[in-house]
Amino acid sequence: MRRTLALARRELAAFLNFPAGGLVLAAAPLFSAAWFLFVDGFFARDQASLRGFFAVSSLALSVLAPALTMRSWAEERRQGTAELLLSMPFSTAELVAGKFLAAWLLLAVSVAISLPVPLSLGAFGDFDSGVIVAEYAGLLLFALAAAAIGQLASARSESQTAAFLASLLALLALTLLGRANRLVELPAALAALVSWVSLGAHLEPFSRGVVEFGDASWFALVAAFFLWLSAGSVEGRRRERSARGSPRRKEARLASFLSLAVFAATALLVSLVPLRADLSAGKAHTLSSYTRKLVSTLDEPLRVTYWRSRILADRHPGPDMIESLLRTLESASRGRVRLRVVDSSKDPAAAEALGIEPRQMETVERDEQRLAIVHSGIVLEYLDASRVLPAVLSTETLEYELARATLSLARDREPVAALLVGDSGRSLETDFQGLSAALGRSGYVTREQAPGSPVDSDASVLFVLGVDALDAAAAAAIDAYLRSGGAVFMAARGVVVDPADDLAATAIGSNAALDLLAAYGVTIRRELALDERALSVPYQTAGDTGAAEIRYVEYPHWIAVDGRYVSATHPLTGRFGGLDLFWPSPVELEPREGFPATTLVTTSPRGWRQRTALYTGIEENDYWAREASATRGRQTLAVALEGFPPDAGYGDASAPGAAARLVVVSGSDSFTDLAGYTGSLFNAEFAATAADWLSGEEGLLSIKVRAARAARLDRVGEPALESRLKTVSYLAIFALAPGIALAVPMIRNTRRRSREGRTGGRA
Amino acid sequence: MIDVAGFSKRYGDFEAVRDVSFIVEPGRITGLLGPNGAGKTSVLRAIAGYHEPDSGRILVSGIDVVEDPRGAKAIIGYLPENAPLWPDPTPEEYLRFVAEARGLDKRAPAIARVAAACGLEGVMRVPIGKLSKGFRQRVALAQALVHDPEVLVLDEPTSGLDPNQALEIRELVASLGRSRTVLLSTHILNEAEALCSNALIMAGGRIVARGGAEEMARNLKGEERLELVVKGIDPDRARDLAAPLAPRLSCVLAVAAGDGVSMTFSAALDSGSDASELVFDWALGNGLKILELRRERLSLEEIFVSLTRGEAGS
Repeated sequence: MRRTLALARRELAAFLNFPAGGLVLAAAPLFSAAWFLFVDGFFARDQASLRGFFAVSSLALSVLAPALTMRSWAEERRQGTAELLLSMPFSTAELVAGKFLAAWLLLAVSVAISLPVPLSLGAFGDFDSGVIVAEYAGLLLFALAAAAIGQLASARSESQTAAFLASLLALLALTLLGRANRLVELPAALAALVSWVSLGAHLEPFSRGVVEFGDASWFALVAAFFLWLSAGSVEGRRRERSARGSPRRKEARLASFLSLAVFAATALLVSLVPLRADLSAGKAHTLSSYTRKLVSTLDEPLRVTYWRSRILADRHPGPDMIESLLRTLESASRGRVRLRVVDSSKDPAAAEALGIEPRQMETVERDEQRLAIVHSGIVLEYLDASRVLPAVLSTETLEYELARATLSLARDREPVAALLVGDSGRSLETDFQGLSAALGRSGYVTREQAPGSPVDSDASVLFVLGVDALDAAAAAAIDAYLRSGGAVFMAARGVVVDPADDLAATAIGSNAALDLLAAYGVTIRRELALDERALSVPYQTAGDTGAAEIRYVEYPHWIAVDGRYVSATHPLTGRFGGLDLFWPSPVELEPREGFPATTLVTTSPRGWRQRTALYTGIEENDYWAREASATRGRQTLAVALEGFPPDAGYGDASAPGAAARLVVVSGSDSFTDLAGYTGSLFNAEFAATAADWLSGEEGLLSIKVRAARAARLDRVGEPALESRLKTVSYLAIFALAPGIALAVPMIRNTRRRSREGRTGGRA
Repeated sequence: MIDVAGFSKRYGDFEAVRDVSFIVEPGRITGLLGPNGAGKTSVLRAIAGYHEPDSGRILVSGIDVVEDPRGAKAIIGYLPENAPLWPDPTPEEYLRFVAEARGLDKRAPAIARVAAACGLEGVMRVPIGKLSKGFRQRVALAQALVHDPEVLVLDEPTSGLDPNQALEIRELVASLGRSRTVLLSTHILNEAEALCSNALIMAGGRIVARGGAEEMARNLKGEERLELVVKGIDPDRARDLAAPLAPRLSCVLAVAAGDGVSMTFSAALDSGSDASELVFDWALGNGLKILELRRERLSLEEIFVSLTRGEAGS
């Protein structure tokens, strides 16, 4: 060990004695960062994910590692210095390990030079730090394999150039091999072998934040194997070129084959060890305890059939991930779940008869472009009932969908969401298609609820979509349902804005539903809430030439709710995706005894109110701002209440039986199909998530809110600050870290030179 | 002690060393002499553990270098030919690495000792790549001494050095040889004579002669020749005139060259420098005009070749 460290130190010193060493180390992260920021367009893509950066980084390491290791033996032999090294009392293992350790440490330093990338870009969005940690771990493990492969190439090559090329080719091939499966159709066994051998395929789970023991040890095993071969090669040269076919050569060859077999067997065994760590936020890629409990307490076996086309599984990573999640489910269920994976291409008609959705996929076969019909869907059967997930291509929401389907099978009923349209001039068919679809995706059966008639007792949740047209009878029905332990989602507004009438705003007068809310302690003011954190709207004006032109202008009546201004503790907003609120009114909260309330959503501190002058026209900035200074501050926009509603004066004053839940969101237009205008599914997803909380499915909710989502780069908001921060990031990434990397060897060499000068002795 | 028995080494089809056996006694300096390509380096490398013998056995102080290479390396100090050192470290850094690699506990005093012994004090902080050949050779020697080894194996320790540098190194080696087992290879006869108490002569991968160094040097030096070109005489007459010089000098050749005669004398054993004086006086005494007088020592290669022939014949 001591000798190994001595050699590693010496190798590091040799690298540092080379003044441009820092440049070599900085080149890989600089290239990766430049590619990620400027070619890949990080800011343009507007996603808080560094996946692309790490993908390029592994390729950059595949170039750097050969450059760092090419000298290790080839140059040592060329200079003749190997002779001295080998005459010192090192064992071959110590020599190989010392050189390997030094190369790996240099690669690790190069990886560390890229740290400003996550550190500075992290200011722009809500990145999943667990995933980033896993990706770094993946790169460091990858570096193990790369350093070992590089050393073997150097040990086997006559010149450093040959060593560089050999290890570069080997590394690129091993890294990119896994992608071959997507390009050409290979026999199944070969395809499996290819992805098993590929370093890139073993790196993939790290990019999701999942560190599997099998993948991590794969890199370690590959490193160990190549180091073993390197040691054999160094040792072989010591015995130097015995004539071909000599017993020693045969022995060595036999030993190589044996070690390959041992390596393969070990790798195979290790891959079966079910150890894994899920570092992603909320363990998004691990079955939640809720799901585990759900499947392990089923009374009867749940038959799960995964129908997937082989051609899809060969070319797309999705089916493998889906299958792996299903296998995890199977093993967590203690025998209750019986999984079958069926190749749908053998019997596509049967799959489609079960409700699996056919999809088209382009394939290239023998240079011929073809369209293939592929399937990837899951059928769950329990007793004599079944549920179908017709098209599943990723695991992002799969656990939620499986749990939801399992739950409805086990209970033998599907949750019902009753939808009550309360705004005048709106209907379920024309205005709430997006909302209905989102509820359907979450497993709810939607049913229209007529205002004023009693709410069916089997409804899990009542959506009151707007309030202006609701009368006392309707309010009484809502109150009765709620007091019986019901769950209500109420989208309300205090001011009606009519897009058809030049955005004219009218405060709502006396209203039974709003009065009901007020009785619960939730007052929807007849005012408008505005925020500088706003959506933009297209606005048609006459341009300079007189022709009509469309400009995007910020419209503070449409608030883009910021993740920083939602309740961090409430399960509904604990992991918040986003919410776009249209013409919301400020909400005032005076909680009643027994019916406590939580503020879910507010504006930013740069929010304000329009109390009297309700101007809502585009670009009427001066009018909007009239009351800004008087009302500036965070305005409440949504609240959640849980408990026993107080008597609202609708009779039945007897004590309510069960606890009720109520979510009130201001801005009822936000849940109409107008929300589709922004292209985001935030609002519909928020409503579906609220349905889960309201109907008491906290377990399901816990799966859903932790599911990975692509967060936006919305942390900063203010353009001036954002551009300053960008400059700081670029400086940190492209100047600071590489600068330090360059400076260290340069300072070292300057100091060495000055010491050399002081001793004066020159021969 | 170094005990080599039946050592052979091939490189592909080339048989570098054939069945070599010898013993190097402790407290002596043994010279391994021979022309380039004789197999000296192959023998030394095998002893130092840089490569393994194809057959045969090498014991260093009783340790088999194949079975326990690390044990053997630990007690050997090895100086390879041409001092192959990394150019970037300073002697100080390099010797520190060697001391660490050799597992020394008290590194600083050991480094100071060898730096003083090898005269490196003034250059300890100058990168090795900037040092002269002589200093590089000293650094290489210092690394071989840093662990105070029982056995020293030195491959051409003075090759490429100027006479003064070579002298210094020789003195150093001579002082080291008093308490250690030293095996050094050289192709400089004077060096072997001056330093070694024993000598082994290799040629064509075999040992062709062995014995006391002085005696062997004397034998080898018997091959000194003198070339003389004189005017005013014919070859036959010159030969007759030269006859009385025997047995110390014999004229082996006399041929006409221009208007004179070119004569080659072979000097007998131990004629030393006075052989040329003798020839000069002889020419003068016979009234011959000397155009040229050149002393020509047979190259070691020629001597070795002749020895090999003798060996093959016998």
